Amino acid sequence: MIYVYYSYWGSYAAVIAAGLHLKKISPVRFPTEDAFYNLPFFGRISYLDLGLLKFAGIDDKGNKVYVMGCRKAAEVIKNAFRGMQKIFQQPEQLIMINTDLLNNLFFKLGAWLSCRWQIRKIGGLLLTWGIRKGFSQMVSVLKDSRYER
Amino acid sequence: MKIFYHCFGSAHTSVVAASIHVGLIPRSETPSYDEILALPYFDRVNKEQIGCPFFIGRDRWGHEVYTIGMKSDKQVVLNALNSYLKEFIGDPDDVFWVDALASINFVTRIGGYISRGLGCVCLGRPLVIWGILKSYPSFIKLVKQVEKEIKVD
Repeated sequence: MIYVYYSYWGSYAAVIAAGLHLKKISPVRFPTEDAFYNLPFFGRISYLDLGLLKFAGIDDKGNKVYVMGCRKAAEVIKNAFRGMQKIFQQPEQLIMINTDLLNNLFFKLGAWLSCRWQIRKIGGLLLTWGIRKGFSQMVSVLKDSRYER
Repeated sequence: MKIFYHCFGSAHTSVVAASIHVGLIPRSETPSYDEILALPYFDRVNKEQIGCPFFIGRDRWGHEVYTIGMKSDKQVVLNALNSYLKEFIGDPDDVFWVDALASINFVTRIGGYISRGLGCVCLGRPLVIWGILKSYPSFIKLVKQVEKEIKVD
């Protein structure tokens, strides 16, 4: 099975979700800032890389986990991937999981500042604050979405 | 090789270009209103279906020709598809992308929005077809260019 965690920018929420899936960060306790920045691709997917599938790792059941930033094109990309699977007769199941769950202003502003305008210092501060606020909610929603499948 | 003509909603421009490519409509003359309307998937793709690739046919060299809609985030979708092909299929060179929006004119754009975006088919559809018939030579030019590039490959 292939898991793709996607979000608008693909370098924060999706990366954290993939980190939770791969057990690189704990869902129970809020991780330190270093733990976030040690995650693969955290804050390192540039504006031009949006849409590219980035390989984050293999989980304990042997499934491949990817992260992707896809702006608002998620539905289009989902349809397109499904179509490609049919055309090229790919038997492996591909699961796309939306991770745009940190809907607070701090996170959105921080992500926009650091991704779009490369203002990393202020952006990073706001981001961490935003993630701290929405972390527990994000963990519970992601857990549910994985149980559903 | 698989050839994908992409445009905004895979309802109009890409369908016309792909149909010229596989020979459903003539290259020597401008087709009639009804001929355009009878094309597969022409003005029939819903908003929810945008992104699904649609098979139009095979050209004389046996290449499969598809249409696909990418909305406004064309580069993001192209990146996603190319990296998907690279990761899971192996050879992205086996696929050829063509931007059919290069041959669109203003009337087709407006008509397409009215018919697909707003859902007013009775007003949008004639506008789209009128616009396509007007700019038909540029579609033929695009297809000929694509065929030239494929042959070089």
